[in-house]
Amino acid sequence: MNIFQISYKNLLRRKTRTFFTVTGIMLSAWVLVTLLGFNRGYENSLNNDIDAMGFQIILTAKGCPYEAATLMLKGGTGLRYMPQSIVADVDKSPEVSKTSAMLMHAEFDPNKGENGGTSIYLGIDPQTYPEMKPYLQFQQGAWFNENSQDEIVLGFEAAELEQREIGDLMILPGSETEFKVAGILKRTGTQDDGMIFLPLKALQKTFGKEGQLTMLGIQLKREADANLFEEELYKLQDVQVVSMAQVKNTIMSLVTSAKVIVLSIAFIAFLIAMFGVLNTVLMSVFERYQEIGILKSMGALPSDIFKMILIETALLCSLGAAFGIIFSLAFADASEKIIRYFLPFTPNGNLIAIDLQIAALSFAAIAAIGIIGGIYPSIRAAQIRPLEAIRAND
Amino acid sequence: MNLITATGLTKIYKRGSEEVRALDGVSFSIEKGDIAAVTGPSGSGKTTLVNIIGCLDNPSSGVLKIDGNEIFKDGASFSESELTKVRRKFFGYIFQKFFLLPTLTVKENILVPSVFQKELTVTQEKINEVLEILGIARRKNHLPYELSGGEMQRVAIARALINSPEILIADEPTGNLDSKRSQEIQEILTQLNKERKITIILVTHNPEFAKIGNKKIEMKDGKITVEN
Repeated sequence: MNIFQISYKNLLRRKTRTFFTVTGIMLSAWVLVTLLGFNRGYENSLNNDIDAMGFQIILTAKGCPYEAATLMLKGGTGLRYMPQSIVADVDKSPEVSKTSAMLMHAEFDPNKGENGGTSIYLGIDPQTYPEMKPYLQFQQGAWFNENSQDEIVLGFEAAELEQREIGDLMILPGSETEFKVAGILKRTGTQDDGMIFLPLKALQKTFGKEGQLTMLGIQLKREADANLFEEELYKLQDVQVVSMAQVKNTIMSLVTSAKVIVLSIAFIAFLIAMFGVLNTVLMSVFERYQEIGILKSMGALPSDIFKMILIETALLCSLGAAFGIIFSLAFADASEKIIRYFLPFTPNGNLIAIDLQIAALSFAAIAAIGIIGGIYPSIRAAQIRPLEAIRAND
Repeated sequence: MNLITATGLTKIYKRGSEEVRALDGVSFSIEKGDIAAVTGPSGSGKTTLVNIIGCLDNPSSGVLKIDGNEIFKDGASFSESELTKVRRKFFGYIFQKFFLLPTLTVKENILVPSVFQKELTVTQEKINEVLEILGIARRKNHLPYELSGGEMQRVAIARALINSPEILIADEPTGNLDSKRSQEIQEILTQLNKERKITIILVTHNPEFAKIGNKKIEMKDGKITVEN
């Protein structure tokens, strides 16, 4: 027999009350772990998405920077165009390592899905684009060659949706031209999966956008000063310069505001759980008033009683925290789906990344806060005098 | 040889502006191996007296010596922790209500004092011995709700004996039992006194039960009226 056994068995006395208290703590733990996991997962995914772009800077036609950010990450519509001659101006700069010109075009396809959908085409330069995106690998085939005008490469999801294979011929919605599928990319987990890639010139010609670009991806030399170069780019007329760091900061600052609100709610949930623990344990102390007095008559010191009640609290909190962590892991996918449904922009990859560090941190935080909630009832219990308990018996 | 000596024990409670003398200068002595039966009408001060003897409360004034040690002197107040240490050393308690922990088995209930008294080593032999003496060995794995009132009081006595106390304080130990079970408890207490030389201080309303005492302390209005 030891004090842990006594504390543990005391919790079994009122099973329903113990169950609901543990459930309250579990829900708080679940929210906390999921939020911390989201915090980490979102940032990681966003970084991965942006790194996968292959460029440090993107030049687009002048317009809203948020629109430009969306354009880069999701293939937005309502595109603006800049003259292709700008490529030569940028290439002149000694800071530039590589550039890759792109034209994005969105076309409504009535045959896509149940109610139709938008197909996104990306006209690329086959000489420069693959070099900037070395992680793109082929499931079948390869990139079209430099002079090709009638070949396309499909992203993994685009190929699945169109149900195409290498060598298939397809007429792109909004055009009369027939293209042959030259390659199908492996899944990347980025926006490239849904893209249909065409040679830049072919896309310009097919949709009447000769000499026009939507963006220019710029890779800088390692020693280049990105800030200085950005200032230089602003001297060019009618262009918008968007650096990846800027995009990342913009999105993260938007998400941070939302996170602060959600974390505040989690904190309130935490406080409610703490007061729930305090209430439960205090009620249990009052119910056992006589019994605690008798334990003291049998040799328990005030510190023993304090310890016994605090152990009960710690057991409640530990159980709740452990179940909360298990639930947050088990329902991470479901939570991710809900978050994706409600957030206007979510990067690819795991949005909720729960690791050992987050689990341990959450467990410690919940146990600590719960135990703080148990201090007052423990003090009250330690102060019970055996004589009063015996008198209460009369 | 005197085990307990009380001189001028007084306990004054304040009830609003009024002072109530629950004990009024009580002096007596109890020898080692005595069964001292404390009797008297309700409100006579007998429970207050055994609470002070059992170090559950401080007197307002007077001196109490146990086994030659001066426990209380001139109304000096002891903290709860200090009183606990004295209780651990000398006393076992039995109350009218049994106060068993409902989620612990008979054996676990008996072991509760050893959880808090680190210096107390309870061997399996000792547990078996106590269970045998009290006749509850076959019930050792049962929970309190599975026991009769008499069995529960036996468990409470076993729990009081596990730290081998010199003095057993029994405050109306048969108050919740029928006459047959009361008789059993009386026999157990007499046997413990005879065989193990435990000093017993017994508070009772029952004159028949009081007869087991070789020493009688009769109280009225906070004073001892008869001591023999």
